[in-house]
Amino acid sequence: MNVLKLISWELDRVKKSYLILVGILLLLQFGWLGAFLWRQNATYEEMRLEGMTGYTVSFINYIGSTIFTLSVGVAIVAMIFFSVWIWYRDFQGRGMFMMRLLTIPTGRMELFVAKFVTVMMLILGLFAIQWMALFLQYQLFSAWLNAKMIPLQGSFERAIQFDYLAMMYPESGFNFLVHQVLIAFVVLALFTFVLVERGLWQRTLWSPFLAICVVSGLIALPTFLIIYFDRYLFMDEQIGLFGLALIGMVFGLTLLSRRFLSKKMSV
Amino acid sequence: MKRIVNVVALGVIITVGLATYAVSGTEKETDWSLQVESNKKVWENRIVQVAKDSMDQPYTHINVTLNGSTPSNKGSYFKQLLDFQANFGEDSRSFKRALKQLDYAQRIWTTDGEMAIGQKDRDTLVLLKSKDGKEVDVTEFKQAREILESGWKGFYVYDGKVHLLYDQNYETTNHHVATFDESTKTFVTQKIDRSKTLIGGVVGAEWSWYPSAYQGQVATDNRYIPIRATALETLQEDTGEEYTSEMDLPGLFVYDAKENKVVTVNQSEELKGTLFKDQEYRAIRSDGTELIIDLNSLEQTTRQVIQGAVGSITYIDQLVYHVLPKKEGAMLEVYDEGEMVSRASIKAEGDSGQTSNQPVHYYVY
Repeated sequence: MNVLKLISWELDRVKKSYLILVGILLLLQFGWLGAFLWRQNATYEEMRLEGMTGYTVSFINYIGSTIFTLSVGVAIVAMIFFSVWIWYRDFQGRGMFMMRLLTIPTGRMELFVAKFVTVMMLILGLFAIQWMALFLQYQLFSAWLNAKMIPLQGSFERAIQFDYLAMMYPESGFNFLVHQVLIAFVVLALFTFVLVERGLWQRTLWSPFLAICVVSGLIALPTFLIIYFDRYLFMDEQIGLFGLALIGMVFGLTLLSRRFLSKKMSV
Repeated sequence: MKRIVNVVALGVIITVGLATYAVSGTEKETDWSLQVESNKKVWENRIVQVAKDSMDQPYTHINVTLNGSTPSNKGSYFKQLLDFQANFGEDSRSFKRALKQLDYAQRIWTTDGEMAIGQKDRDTLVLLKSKDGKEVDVTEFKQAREILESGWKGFYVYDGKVHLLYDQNYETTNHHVATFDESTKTFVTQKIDRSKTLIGGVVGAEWSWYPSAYQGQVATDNRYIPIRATALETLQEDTGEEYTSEMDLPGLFVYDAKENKVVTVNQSEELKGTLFKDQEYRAIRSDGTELIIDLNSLEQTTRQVIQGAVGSITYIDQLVYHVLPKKEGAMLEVYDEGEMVSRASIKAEGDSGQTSNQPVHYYVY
């Protein structure tokens, strides 16, 4: 219950900026969809007047466009930034909110869990909004093209297999879980960076640099191992090794975070 | 409750999003079924792959077996893992593992087991031999730079020795053969007479470590080795610029391992499918007859195999799989030594009206 309250409190603090982010993303996507369709319309008219046929439009043209990709990029960057900011904001100001947080009786690891769950929920929330938005965008897209009698090529199912979007539309529940675990791993690595950095910041000027070294070293070591053994192993063995490395890294990062959060951090 | 309202709100959004995803992301794949009228045995390990030429369908092939149809390269990572493990038992891994470690390698399957040659480091050529896939004999040939810095056409075994055909220094028309002596770990090279054709590749020599259903088990004493022949053609681009390109020549070509020259068996005839197995080179012609060439004497025999229209042909281990597309689905026949041994059909279940308008390709594995 304590963790749940903490999560709710974290969500409350970020609500406004999150809504602004979602607003920007939706505005960008739907605005661009309008402009995109308008342009297709004009091009189609032009071609028709010139007597050219065979002009078709596909949803992939929209998904693959710079502005759509940009909107996804903005969301990713915002989430990476937020994973770091969720800790740093508590260190802001003279009073330093962290002081109060670190002294609450529920224990520091609960704080960690709460912040982690908050970030994962916000990321999943963005996924959810994108799923709905993309579905709606396809409805608008096909309705508009049908109304203007512009030949539409390709289906929604085909379009969502496009490139990076396949990450958002995995083919089974298991794959979805795997993708989420990989996202969670990135968040964990960012958290560890912050905690190591904050654990050392009062002792040395080099703390950000040290933190980057520690975290990237922890990730690089198993990665080199995987790359080195790649040619000796078959697919199932490679996945096994990758799984072991991932578990090892998660374990290492969590322990490191825990140590710095509970022992080293002071404000 | 009031204190966790944010969690609940975001939770609801996520749930609704997941629901949208579950509804919109699911694909309505057509189910295909393989109905075998006679002799189920020849279909037991086979896959008929259905590929549609359509932008309206998700980019998938459908693999149809006796057990039903599944979209290919789909499904959970976990299932892919289990499938891989089912296909590659521990027994067959030693040879493939040794092969994977070579930088540039070819593999053949002979009556003496699997063999491969490949590159290790900058100047060592490695020969791998394995009778059962478990124990691997490794022979290294040092100072083989001359061969490693050449374009490989393929290798074969003749007279107890491994031979490799290659382009000296990647010069397209400069064909050589290298003969490897395992006992002394040395090799000799010799220019060959290419008889005005170019060797595109040796039939049966595969680049990938991954097993191929089309690779036949070949004898090691064949005098004539089947090859793919190519010719250089000068083409003109729209801009008027000329360029040369290597084009495959239709017909049957073999390489005479004794006289070191290319021999044309049969030129500019369209062939539906070919097989190199044991001492024979087989091909189905477009009229449905099978041509069998003895690879020690070049003696040719023919026999009638397919009656009527000829569709596409796939040889798998001397069995001829014949696919003839129909208006709905396709008719499948299997021939063994000229005799029909099985008849089957494949077709889409349910909305056949939608699928019949699209061109569909069938491949047998």
